[in-house]
Amino acid sequence: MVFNSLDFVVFIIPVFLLYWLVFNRSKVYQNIFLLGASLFFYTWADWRFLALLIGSTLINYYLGLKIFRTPEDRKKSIFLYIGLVFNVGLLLYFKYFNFFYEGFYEILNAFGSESTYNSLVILLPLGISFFTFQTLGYLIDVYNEEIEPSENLLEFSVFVTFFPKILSGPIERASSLIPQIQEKRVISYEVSVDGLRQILWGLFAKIVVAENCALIANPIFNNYENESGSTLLLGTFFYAIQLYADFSGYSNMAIGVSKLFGIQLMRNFSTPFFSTNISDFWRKWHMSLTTWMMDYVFTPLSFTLRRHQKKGLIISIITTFVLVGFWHGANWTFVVYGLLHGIYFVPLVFSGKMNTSEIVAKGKMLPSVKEIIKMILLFVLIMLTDVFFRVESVSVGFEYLQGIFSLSIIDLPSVLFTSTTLITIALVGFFMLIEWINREKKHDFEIGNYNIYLRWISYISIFVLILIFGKSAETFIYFQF
Amino acid sequence: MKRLLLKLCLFFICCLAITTFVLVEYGGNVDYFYQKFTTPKAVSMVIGDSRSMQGIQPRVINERLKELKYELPIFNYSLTIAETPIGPLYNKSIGKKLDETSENGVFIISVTPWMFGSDKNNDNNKGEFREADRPPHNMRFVNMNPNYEYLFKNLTYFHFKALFRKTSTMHKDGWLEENNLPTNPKVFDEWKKRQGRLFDKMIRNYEVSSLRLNSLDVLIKKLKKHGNVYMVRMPIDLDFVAVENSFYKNFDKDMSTVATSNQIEYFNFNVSSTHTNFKTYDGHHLDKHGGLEFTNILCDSIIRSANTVK
Amino acid sequence: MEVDVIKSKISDALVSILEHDNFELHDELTAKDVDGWDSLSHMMIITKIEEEFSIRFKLRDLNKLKNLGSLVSVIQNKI
Repeated sequence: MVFNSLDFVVFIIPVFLLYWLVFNRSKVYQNIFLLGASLFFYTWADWRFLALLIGSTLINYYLGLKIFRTPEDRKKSIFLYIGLVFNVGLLLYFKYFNFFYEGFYEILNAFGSESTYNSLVILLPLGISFFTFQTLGYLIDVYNEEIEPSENLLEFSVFVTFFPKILSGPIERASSLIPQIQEKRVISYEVSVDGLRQILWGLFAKIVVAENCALIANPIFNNYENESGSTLLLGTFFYAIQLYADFSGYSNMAIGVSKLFGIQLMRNFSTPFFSTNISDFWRKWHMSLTTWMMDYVFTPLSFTLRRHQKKGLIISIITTFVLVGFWHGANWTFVVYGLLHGIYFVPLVFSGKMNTSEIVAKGKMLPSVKEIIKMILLFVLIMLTDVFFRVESVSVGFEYLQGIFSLSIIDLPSVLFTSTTLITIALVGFFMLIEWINREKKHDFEIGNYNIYLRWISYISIFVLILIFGKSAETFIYFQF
Repeated sequence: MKRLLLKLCLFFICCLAITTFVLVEYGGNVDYFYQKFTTPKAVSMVIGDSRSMQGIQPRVINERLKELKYELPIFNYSLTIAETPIGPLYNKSIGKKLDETSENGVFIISVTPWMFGSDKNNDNNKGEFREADRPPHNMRFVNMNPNYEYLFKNLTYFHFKALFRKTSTMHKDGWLEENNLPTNPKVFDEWKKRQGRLFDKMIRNYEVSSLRLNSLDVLIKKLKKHGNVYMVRMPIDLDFVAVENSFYKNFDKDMSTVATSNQIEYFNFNVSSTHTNFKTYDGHHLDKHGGLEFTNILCDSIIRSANTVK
Repeated sequence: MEVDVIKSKISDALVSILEHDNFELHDELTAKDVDGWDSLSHMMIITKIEEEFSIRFKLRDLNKLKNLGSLVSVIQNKI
């Protein structure tokens, strides 16, 4: 059940009303109801792994308490390691088994063995990458005495399964989510309306911007061998926007839906394309994953390698980003994606300019020329890595890039002057403009301080844009006869 | 909470108002079928798939058949092969659209071999039909303006972007006017090839269903109570006729049998000896010009036949 | 060791890594308040401090460092 479906509307309206009108007597009622709704939501999406989700919740709940209650350090760490092995093991088995299995045989074959292998059919449980990271972080935090474990199984279960974030994040932290579950939620008009705004904007990003960009990017990627360099470049441009609009739109909807239930999830995107260097970009892109990786991978790793100075830092950064890439899927393309981003950091380490997480042109209308140049350069660098996010194999990725950097890069792209492309460019422009205006705000469409007419005009206009330019599945229906 | 719900309602009312406006004003442009389900019940009808949806123009029939004193206007209730193959489901929907008071209507059933094809995985006798979850079979109301039921159940069919381009218009009489016609012979060839692939796919996945054939008989008998029924096989390119024959060898024979047993006319425009090429945009869909010409010729046939009977 | 001495040594470490002294040492000072003190320079600062005091932190000490005051007390416990 994706957020932009009628199914979800039918689900969310009664759940919202029951939550605030019937199950609002105490936090226990609220939590029982949220857990029920979340399990229903997960079951609806894919019932086959409900047992896995419940099992993982119980085991992590138990391990959290065990780690906390064990006095001796060594035994504590044994329980932590059990937890790490369990959670990472789940992920490795369900998501990466075939990747390593095939890799193993390919290495054997490289040494002259002639064994054959059959990939196993392993279904990927929905949301596994998200909820295992969340419980992993929980156990590590408990071990490090950053938080106390949740004593209450009900509250812990809501923390793991809360439906707005179970399928695709944000990857929440126990330290920010559990305390909210431990309190009774009270409805706030302002927060709810703000959530609705965020949903509307997410919907626009997803079904207008992302889907329209996809309409242009897909045919270019599918037929990349025959396209000119400039067309390929245009394809990566639209794909980069699509990727961003798709995921940030999804995140905004998740965060907005959660607000309707009085729970604040963490921000996941913070206008990342308005960044002037790669470190700045990653502070604003998929923030829940990046901060997770920073805390649980980069920090321990760079701490261990701290004697090696800059070399240690570079190794830590590159390892972290390779893992960031690999987290997205069991394919070498994601490894290359992460590796490229890791390499982009190297100059920053040497120049010592890691810390420019300033909002671009803060308090001003327009950025300086220097900032514009930096933002465009960075965007192009990122856009090129996104090719590896899109293609199915590394070799295709490099062929695609090779295609871009050919003589035909100076041709006019074949699809540029079609009405579809021009309309999409206008939509992307509008999207980016609103993002720019709201870049200092708490989310991309925080317009609560505008006057009432302007607000309503915005809502209605966005609805009209969604109605008209929203995705329609079967455009070529008459070709069916 | 109250304030929130009130404002939300206000917002949704605004959205609904805008949507209604678009549907009422541009309903024929933003969806291929929408207008079929907003119009009142019909006294006379064209039944068929996309060939007749685009190729048989009710306005021409209304003009030409005046002299025969049929109850008019005629309404084109054809959709496409995906939605309206002959069968109990389509029959039921025709029943909903038909004005039961009609006594002297004219009913034109455009038949193609594919309209008798059922998915090999479906058991028609168990009530499994490939068209079941498509409009109009997933709807209750087919004569409602504006038709929100159609909108919500078939949202994915809509293409609101077309509001500006108006490449196609579904007219109130049920005729789909397609304006995006290939001027370049290359485009025509490409479109025709695409249709060929669709035929191949159907040949692989479909088989002729005796239940559907039987439904045709039921349909004719029902419609005869409300007026005169004519069957027609619309003209297509001869190479496509060959493809169709490979799918359903005895098609013409079976159609003639049904027609004779019900004492109605079957006009076959694909007999190789008398075959003329009408203007199509992909080898089997008449474009608006070819359709105009064909509808006139069809009317000639109907008038001739009506006069001989008298 | 005196708190003031510890603080001045920390200050030296910060200056040598960050190459500026635009900060005031008080117990509530956090990394966010100091230009250039980010997750990357953090490690280098930590290493520098370890050298200055000839101590070794543990990863779990690192997580306890919320501000300058807690850094000073962790160091005090180590020497």
